[in-house]
Amino acid sequence: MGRVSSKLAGAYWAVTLATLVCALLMAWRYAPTEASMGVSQKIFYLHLPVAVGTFLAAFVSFASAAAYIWTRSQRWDDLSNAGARVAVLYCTVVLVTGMIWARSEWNVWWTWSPRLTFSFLLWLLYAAYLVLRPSIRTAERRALVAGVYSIVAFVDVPLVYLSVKLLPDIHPSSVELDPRMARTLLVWFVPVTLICAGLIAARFRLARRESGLGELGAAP
Amino acid sequence: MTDLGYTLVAYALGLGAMLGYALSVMRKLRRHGLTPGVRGRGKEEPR
Repeated sequence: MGRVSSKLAGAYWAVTLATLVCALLMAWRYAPTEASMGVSQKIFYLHLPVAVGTFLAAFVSFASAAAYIWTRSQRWDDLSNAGARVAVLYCTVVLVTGMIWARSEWNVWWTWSPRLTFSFLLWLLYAAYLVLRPSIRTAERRALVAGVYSIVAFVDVPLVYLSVKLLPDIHPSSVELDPRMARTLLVWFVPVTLICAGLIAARFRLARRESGLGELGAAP
Repeated sequence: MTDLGYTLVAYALGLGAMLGYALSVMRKLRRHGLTPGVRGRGKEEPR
């Protein structure tokens, strides 16, 4: 059983890396260079799918936190923790790639536009979650506080999405894409989402093992 | 820095962070004996 699941995990990461190589080749060899933005537009192929991956990871954390509060099963808290960790990583990548693109296009690293501000707030909320968790000693209390916190933090996700539609913002919202660019963007969603799901699954397994060891350590 | 330079740095940092974190998690899993190659390492197969 263990050997089969290990082989499946190996195959999963091999497929993920193969699609990533394919996506990189498409971005640099197949998709044309955008006329006004030039080569820096290619940052968008990584930036947008990672932003969607951030929402996905945050949703996993939110839904698992709600499931923990409903069932009080440690398993859900471990999954919520895994989702929050990946959300922080992905949100960091979104902010860094966005800042580099802004420096290249707007000649500034940062501007306090609504979407950027809400995105930074999202990063702060989930980073604070990771700082908050270890500060609570009892496992049950930690899971409950982290669960409630995760549900509240998720409120920022629709704000990030809607800010560009409801408020005046210089962040690009919808762009007309050449069909080859659109295909390349679609292909990029595959490895980025696979990495996101693979990381959540791996962090979940690790959290299950660590919480199991914690229970052993806590036993008299 | 040129636009190409900024783009390459963005890809290197973004993918480096994601894949680097994946490797770090895999290493921790392996330390806990949850990935192949570790289970039974150093032990003789039963005859």
